[in-house]
Amino acid sequence: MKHKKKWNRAMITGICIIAFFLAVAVLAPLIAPYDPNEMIRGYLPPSKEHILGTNDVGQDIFSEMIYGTRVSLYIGIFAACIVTGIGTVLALISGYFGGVADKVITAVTNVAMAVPGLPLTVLMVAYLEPGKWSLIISISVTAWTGTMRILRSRVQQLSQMPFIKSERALGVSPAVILYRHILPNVKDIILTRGALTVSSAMMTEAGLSFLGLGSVTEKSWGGVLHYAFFRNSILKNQVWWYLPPILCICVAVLGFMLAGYYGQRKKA
Amino acid sequence: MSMLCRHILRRTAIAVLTVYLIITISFILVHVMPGDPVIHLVGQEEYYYLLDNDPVYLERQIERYGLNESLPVQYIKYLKSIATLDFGTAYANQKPVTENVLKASGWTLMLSVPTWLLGGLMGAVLGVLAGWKPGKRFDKIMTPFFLVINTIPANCLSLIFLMFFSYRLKLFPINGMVSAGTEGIGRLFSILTHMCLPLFILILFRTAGDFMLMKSAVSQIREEEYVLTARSKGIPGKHLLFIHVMKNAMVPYLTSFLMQMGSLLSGSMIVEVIFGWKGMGMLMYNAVQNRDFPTAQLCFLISAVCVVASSLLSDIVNAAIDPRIRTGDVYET
Amino acid sequence: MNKWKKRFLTAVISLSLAAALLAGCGQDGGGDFQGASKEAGETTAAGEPKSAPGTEKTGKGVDDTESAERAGGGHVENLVIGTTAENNVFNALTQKDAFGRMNYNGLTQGDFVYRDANQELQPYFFRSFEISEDGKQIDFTFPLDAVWHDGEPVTKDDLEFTFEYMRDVKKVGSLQNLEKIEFTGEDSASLIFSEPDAYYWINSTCNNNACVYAKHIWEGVEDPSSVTGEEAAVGCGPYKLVSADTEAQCSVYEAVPENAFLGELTVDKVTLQSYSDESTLMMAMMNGEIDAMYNYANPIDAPVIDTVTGNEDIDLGESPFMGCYQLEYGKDRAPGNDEAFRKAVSMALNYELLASTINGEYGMLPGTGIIPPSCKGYDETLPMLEYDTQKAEEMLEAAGYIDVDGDGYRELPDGSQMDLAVTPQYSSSMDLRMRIAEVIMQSLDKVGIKNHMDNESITNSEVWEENMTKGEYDLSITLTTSGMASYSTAFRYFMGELREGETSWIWGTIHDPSYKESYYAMTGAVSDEDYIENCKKLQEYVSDTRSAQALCWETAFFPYRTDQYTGWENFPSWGVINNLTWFNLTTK
Repeated sequence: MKHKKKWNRAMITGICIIAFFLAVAVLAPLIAPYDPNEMIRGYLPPSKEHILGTNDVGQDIFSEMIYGTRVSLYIGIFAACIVTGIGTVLALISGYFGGVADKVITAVTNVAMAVPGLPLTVLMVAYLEPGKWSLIISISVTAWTGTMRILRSRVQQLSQMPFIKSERALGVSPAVILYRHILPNVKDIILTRGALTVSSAMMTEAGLSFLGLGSVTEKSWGGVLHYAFFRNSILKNQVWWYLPPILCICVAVLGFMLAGYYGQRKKA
Repeated sequence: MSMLCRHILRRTAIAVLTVYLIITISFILVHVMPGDPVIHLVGQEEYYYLLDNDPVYLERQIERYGLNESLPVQYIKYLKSIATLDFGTAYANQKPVTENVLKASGWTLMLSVPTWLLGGLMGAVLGVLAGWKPGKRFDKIMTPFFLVINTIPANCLSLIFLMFFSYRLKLFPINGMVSAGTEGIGRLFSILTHMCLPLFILILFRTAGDFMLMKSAVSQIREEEYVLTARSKGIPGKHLLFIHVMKNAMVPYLTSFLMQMGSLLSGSMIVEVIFGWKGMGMLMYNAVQNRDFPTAQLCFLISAVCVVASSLLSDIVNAAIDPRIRTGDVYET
Repeated sequence: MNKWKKRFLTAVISLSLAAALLAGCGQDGGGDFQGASKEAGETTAAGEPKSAPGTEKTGKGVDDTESAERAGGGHVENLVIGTTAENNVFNALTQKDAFGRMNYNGLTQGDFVYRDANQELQPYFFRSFEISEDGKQIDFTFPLDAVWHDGEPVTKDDLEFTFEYMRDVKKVGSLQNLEKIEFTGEDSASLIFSEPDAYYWINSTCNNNACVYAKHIWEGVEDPSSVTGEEAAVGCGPYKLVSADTEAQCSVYEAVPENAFLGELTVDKVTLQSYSDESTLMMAMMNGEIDAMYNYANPIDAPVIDTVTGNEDIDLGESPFMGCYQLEYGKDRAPGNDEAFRKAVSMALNYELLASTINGEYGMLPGTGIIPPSCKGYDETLPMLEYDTQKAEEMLEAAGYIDVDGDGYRELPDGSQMDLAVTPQYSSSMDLRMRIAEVIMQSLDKVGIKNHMDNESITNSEVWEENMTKGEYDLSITLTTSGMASYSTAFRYFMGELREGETSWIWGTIHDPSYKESYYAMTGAVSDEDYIENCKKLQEYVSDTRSAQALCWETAFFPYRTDQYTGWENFPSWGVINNLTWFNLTTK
């Protein structure tokens, strides 16, 4: 009993963190004291007017961080949606129907798994026009394989269940079976995997932006960190510049991971 | 046993096919990449200068790298080059690509092999300790700790470490792999000091990942086994149960441990870039950034072959351990 | 339970012990190495009395007392130069990276001439040189005792081979009109051109790898990069490559007294060490690992320089920078073709912010003539640029750029929509250029000019090149390096057409024949007066028409350590590592 409560608390913490960042993202224009693009004066240290100072071109870092929440979450969540979407659809088809479809999908998955992920992503980003969506696509290209494999074996198990077999024998359309019986049974896995994918997508995004491959015009947390690093804030000890993005990324990722990880544990 | 052999043969055939597909994909990806490779070939500053002062050199380079030929011709040339293991000359330093890649691989392996082994070992030991008694103090401390480690992007942790240990405390060199003018033992020592930070970070991350893996495997199987054995033989002895659980938990762990071998060469890109470690990750990153086709392609190929080979290996090991696979009882995963 | 706890504790303790051990190693290792490298440096220069090398690693204070004991003015045993270029390619003809860049300073190669601190050409391998009045002939003398690093003497044949090889095999553009090389005496010869290219050629040999080539190495070689052995690095410069360690990114050069073109070589050995970026380079300088830095035309970035300011052993090596970032208006289409619009825009740009973005607190407001005061031929009578948004808006209004449809952005005078593309020059590192673009975009936005980043150009060099060549841009941000600035100048970039035979960089949109005429009169000038006169014409042209403008005038930083050596000469825009360093630098 005590156990369960603790797991839940972790999950609730995660959900609270997610809710907090979502709220910040949605209410960004209300919270941010400045337009993040407005250039005031460069390299101001933290003060009453600028809680986190200003960056090299005089933009308010605090406002940048708040608007950055939007971009970071947007990329994380949409990448996760795509990844989970692709993974789920492929897993349902391949796990339920088996046969040729399964063989083809498995082959594609094997190839996708063998492609070195980060290098491919770096290549893709270099190759698409800079922007949020090119990042999302690049992140999603190889990330779906994990979700797909886990779901597929679960769907395969479910398909062998007597009640599914009997419905199948009765001639119920596969779409109905998949939607009514199988999907609800794998819903938890999907959600868990989804939450975990958001966190890993956000981490990848942070890495890419840091390498200078991120979106140019819309700055994410990773982008703020990139400029902080490029402008040498670490050597100059401008903690207010490089630390907030690192903290935000970590806390947000932690939020999604708690929700995902403990969500999974609770059921297991 | 023939079942096992057939299984292995089939898996090998599939692996070879996968590698071929990846070769093709990497070729296509690299060649439809935008950007004039000639500019990257010589560097932009140099390119315009050469255009004025040494146009013949430019033309010769284009010819030499076959950049003026059609894609199919280039593709066949590429396949040929793989067959003959001649990957041409890298744009970056005018040396054979294979030589560059081998050198970089060596440096990367210096980081990734210890990471793989130590991380795998520590993750397993700590994971078992935490998973055996979930909810106890050890688990309570270690799980959140490693969970948090898991949430920190590699670049962030690297930066923090770099700032703290190298810039502030000056304990470690900031960057690079070895100091100049060192020889023999001194050189080895210098390499070791340069390795410390990136290696520590990589091991930390790997341990965190493996810890989670092992912990959940052990705790899950322990619960199942406990119920199972309790039902048949009454409350089981602690030792017996432990052996049982370990046996079962080791299979998935070993599988993923072997799978991790696949990322030995390509798995440390960001850490390498930050610490200026001239390994495969750095080589690949630079090759992509500079549109260095020959290098990018070979890096891709080698990393992919590693992944395929390691998954093949883990498959074979699995088949050898798990009797169900040996008899063809289980559908392929 | 207890057992586990115990084991865990032991594990933790042993782990932390291991960590401590490693940390300890780190410290010792670093210290040891510093001592070791200095020791190595000192043992090679045999025979000379010196103080105990072991004490050197302990810090600056000790260094000072030590150098006081030493007799001043002695030879520099090992000058360690840091750079961010790689130590990778060691080939005299395809030289690039650190090796190639250092050869702009006549390190291993016999450069013909060099450009001094006042931007005058001075003899180097050439013992003397003179350009004829018609600009079609250079008479020069050369040394008879110079040797190649493999021991062969440098002969007339080598010289003849060099010019023929450059003209016929490398097809060097500035030598295309070279008719012949004529030996007029034991140690003298003339280059005879069919066109007045002599002045242009000799100027363009500075800051690139034009130097004497060894006939016995390069004869018959069609593709220089195919020569990969040690002989590829052989030159006839004052230093020869003795070792290269690409792993440690370091190469070592020893003095060759026969090739001391400018007197006695006071630096016995040069070590070139590469660092991955500027901040590590600066850390290395602060730690005393390197004595000075060379990075071709790339001074240390202003935010990075802040980390070494205040260190009394380091001189910032400050000088006015000759290069600059500039903005060209796309004059092949509206609104860039409207002079009134261009002038209004130049009034709307926030120069203070641009300066702090490009050059930190050291950036200066640029003048309307584009080239900075440190350039030869600078015209100080031209006005400076101004930043006044109100005035800019008034000017836009007066010129007919009014927001007709009320969307907050101005329309073109004919009432159609206006959306300017801002195109930063493509480069493998776009960070600063993007920042500059951002500032410009924000400035334009403030006065109601809609604009966007040209996203395709910033990721694709082909697209960028094509857009530039076709003149398909509204605002293009480009950079003139100090190398370009020292002779071809920023004006080269604005040319809409070039003369026949030249194909590179047709990025400009100035099609005015008078501009082109002045430009070629400047680069083909046979005297400094001629050059300056035409250079001023060009400045006046851009100042009047505002066809293009500078974004900031910069201060360059090439820091160097002052605690051990003396005799540094800081060349504006280039720093203390130059052709004179090898002959002037001595111990304190």
